[in-house]
Amino acid sequence: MIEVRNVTKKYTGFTALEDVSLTVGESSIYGLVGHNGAGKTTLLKTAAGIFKADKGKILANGENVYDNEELRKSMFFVPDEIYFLPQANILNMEKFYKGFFPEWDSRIRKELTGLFKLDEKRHIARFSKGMQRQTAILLALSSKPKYLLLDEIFDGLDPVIRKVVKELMLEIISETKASVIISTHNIKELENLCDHIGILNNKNLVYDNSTDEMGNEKFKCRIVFNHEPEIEHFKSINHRALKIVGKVASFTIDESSKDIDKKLALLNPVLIEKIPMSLEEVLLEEMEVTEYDFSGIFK
Amino acid sequence: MTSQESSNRSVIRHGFKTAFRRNFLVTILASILLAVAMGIPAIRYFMLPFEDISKGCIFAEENFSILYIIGAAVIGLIQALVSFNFIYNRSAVNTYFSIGIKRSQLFNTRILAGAFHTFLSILLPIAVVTEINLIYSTSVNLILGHAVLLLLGMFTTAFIAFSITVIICSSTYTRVESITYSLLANLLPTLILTGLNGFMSAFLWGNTYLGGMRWYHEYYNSLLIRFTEINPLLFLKEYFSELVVQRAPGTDIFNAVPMFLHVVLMLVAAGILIYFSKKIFIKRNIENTKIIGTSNAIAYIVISPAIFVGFSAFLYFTRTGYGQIPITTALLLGAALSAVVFSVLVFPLRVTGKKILNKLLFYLFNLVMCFIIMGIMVSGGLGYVNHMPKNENIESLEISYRGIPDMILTDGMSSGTGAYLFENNGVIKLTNPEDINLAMILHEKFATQGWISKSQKSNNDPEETAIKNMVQVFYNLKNGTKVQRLYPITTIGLMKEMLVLDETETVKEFYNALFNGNMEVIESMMQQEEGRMVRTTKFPIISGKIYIKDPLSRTIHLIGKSTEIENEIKQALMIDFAESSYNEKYFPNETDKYQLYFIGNQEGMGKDIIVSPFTMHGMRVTLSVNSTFKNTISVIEKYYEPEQYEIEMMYVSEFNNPGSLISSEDHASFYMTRPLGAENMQFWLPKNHTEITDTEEFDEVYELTRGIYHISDGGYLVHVKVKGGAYFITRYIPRDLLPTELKEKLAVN
Repeated sequence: MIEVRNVTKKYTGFTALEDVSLTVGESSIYGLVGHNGAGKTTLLKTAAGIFKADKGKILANGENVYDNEELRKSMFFVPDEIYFLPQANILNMEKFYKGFFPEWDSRIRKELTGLFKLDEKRHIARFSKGMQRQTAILLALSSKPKYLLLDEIFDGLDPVIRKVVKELMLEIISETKASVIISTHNIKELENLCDHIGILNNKNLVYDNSTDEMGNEKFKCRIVFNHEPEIEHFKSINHRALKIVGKVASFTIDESSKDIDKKLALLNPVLIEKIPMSLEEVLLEEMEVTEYDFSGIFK
Repeated sequence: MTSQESSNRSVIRHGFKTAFRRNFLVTILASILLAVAMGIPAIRYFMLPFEDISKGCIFAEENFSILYIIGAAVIGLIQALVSFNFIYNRSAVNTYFSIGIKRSQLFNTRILAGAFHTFLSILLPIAVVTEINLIYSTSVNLILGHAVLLLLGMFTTAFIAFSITVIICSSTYTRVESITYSLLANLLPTLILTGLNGFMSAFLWGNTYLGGMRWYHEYYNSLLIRFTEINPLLFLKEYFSELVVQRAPGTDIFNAVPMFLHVVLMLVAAGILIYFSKKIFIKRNIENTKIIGTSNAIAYIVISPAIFVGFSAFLYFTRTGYGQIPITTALLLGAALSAVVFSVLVFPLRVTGKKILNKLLFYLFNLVMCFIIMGIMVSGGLGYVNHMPKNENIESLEISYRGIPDMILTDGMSSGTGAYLFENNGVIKLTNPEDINLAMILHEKFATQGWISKSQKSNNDPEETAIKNMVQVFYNLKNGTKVQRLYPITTIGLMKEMLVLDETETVKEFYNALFNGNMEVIESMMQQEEGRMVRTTKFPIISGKIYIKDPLSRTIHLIGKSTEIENEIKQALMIDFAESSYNEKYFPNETDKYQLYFIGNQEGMGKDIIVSPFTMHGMRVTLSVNSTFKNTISVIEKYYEPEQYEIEMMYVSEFNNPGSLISSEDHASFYMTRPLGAENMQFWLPKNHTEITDTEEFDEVYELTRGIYHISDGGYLVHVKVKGGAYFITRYIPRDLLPTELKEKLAVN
């Protein structure tokens, strides 16, 4: 289990993370979503023990991860900028990592190399970006980690390989009970993969929930009236993103809002539609996406 | 052993192997370069037909010791940069700092691998040169002993450079910073000492570190050389030459103990640096990787001395030596150069961040520091300038001796232009309390004199004329310490005052020993390395032949025709020297009666020799005898009948440049010691001269001529030609003695 407790991380001149807390259980994949620059990589590097938190701490199996070599023998971090030894091929990299990861499994490495159809003797520097990413993933999985931290792991992978990687993730958590954090700004990658989603926005974790509960909590509502409603009609409802077009009002609500159905009924609508929100819609809403006005840019 | 411990060891071993592979290329290249640089001179020496080193050992070219030492330091620097190169690569950092190895362990593996490679880079070339020695020389023990010591010395030099670079690497976040700051950090003591020396040579009156001003030929007097033992870059220099060349076993055996202690101290220092490097490395802010300008503290420490050196660079050219630049100009040029150094380093490396104001403040801070140092030195160096030890603490005092030339001319030693007033005749060591007191009075005058301009001249008081003359005053204290002062410029007046040292017991003893031929006493009294007077006088006076010359003649005649006569003359001189005051010797009231020549053993010398103006006799000493030397004159006149000369021609010219007498700026001193060919006289005569045509005046004017020390006040030169002689003799008349009508005649010209 990975526990992030009230972590604040500051760089010179600005704060990247502020009082962030989250928990990743065993056999669990935590999807970390956010804008570019939201603090996802910072959180992962702090969780990997590369950065030291200015406040708070990150625990794995109850122990602080920072500069904890024992813990990190079972933790693998795949950064966005992947590092390979100069002039190395997959075999060289295996030799390198094998010395640092006691649980290293060469059989897995061989099978994954075959699965990805990579030449183990070819210089990695000559691989395409996607192949280098596959190499990083196969090396990470070969270490049989209990804690796996993946930063923008799907970047540069074709749809087929993406699917394979997702299946491998699910496979490894069932085998090793690993705790996995995957960061991405592409929320679609996390669908059907993560069991928990966290949204980082403006240095804070603005949303943290399991994907199961997420489907029952966030709804889009569309209500049709027989007259044009006023905004004041919706005062009693804890709504967000309210839009009124003629006799139709649309907004989002949390299921947790008290007596929501009763309150909606009291508005005397002609029709009520309540649809669970998709992951992307939740992300867009939580991140309060700015609507850009592009008109006239290329004129 | 627990499985965790075992796993840890295995990880560390693996980390070491990983690190070790990184430095191989550097080690191979460095070894080849060093092996070639050491091996070729060694082979060349062994092949020399005229030198037999078959029982000695040669490991390198001894004249280029500094290059080998710097080479070793560069190897250490590069090995450290390569060992820690990964910390400037963001993706490498992500990997190395997230895998199962602690930061401290990661640091240790890199240090071990780097140090091992540094050792290999030195060991391999030395092994090659050792093998070359074993092929050509038979002294196996000597070769192996020197090889081990050389390895130890060069490795220590390389390792301390390695440790300095490691602390810089641990503190910086970009490659450009690590390389630049490592170079500056390794040069840190050199830069500070060089900068400080520049200020001292221009502002700290009396300090002994003036070598910087004469870098090319007296560099041993520089602050940098004085403190080589604490300079990690140069500490090996004092041992290196002896270590790399031993021409035969048993000769000049190298004493390894001081070097060994030095090496231990340097290794301890390197260890301390590495200890702090580790602390810094563990706390390293990885998030700053590849961000320039995030190592300000280290930047301030290493850049400031570079600015300091820039500021002081032109001060080396101000006072003496090659001094040509006025102080104000040197300061302005220094400020400009330091601004260039500052800009070149601070702007690209973004020291102090992006704000120009902060950069400006940093430069101003350095400038203020320079002015504070300057202020301290100008105002007496916190009491340094006027500090004089207490009499009761003084064991002995060594002071420059500036007498002799009038009495014993050290002619033609180097320049060929004759003897100079206040010639550098060596150093006398005083132990008698009264003598020390006398010398301390002189020292106080030098100390209070302070810096004067080289061009200082006073027509009203010629004694205020500045002359360059290096005067040293060294105290040896009873507690074993020394107080040393060096005064590179002074006035003719003060130089004349120094002649009072003839009244000291030491100088009197010296003359007694000189005329008695007691070499042991002479050697014990004079510092050999400084004692030019000893070198130039002892052989001709003790073992040379004695000749005599009338002042107007150019032919010298053998007077010491037997040992008895020689001894009689020397004894008479000894008594006259002892009985006459220094004023009587140097400033006689009458013209010279005779000139005695002591000429070192030269085969083929006849009884009568014509003194050529261009002959340079290193083994010749001339002594002018005036009426003060009653005993000597009495002995001379027993064995020599003076020749009678009738003056045929006489020119008088004005001489107003007494300062030139200690340099070869004109030919004044030349005139005083050498007969000049009559056919060339128009060339030698100064433009402003007059001829005395009244023959009745000849003898009258000639009697006004005096010894050379009078010329220090300015005056007149008299060029005399005798009947039958095809030459001119030049004499001197003090300013006040020349008849008014002659003065007026010269004024009209």
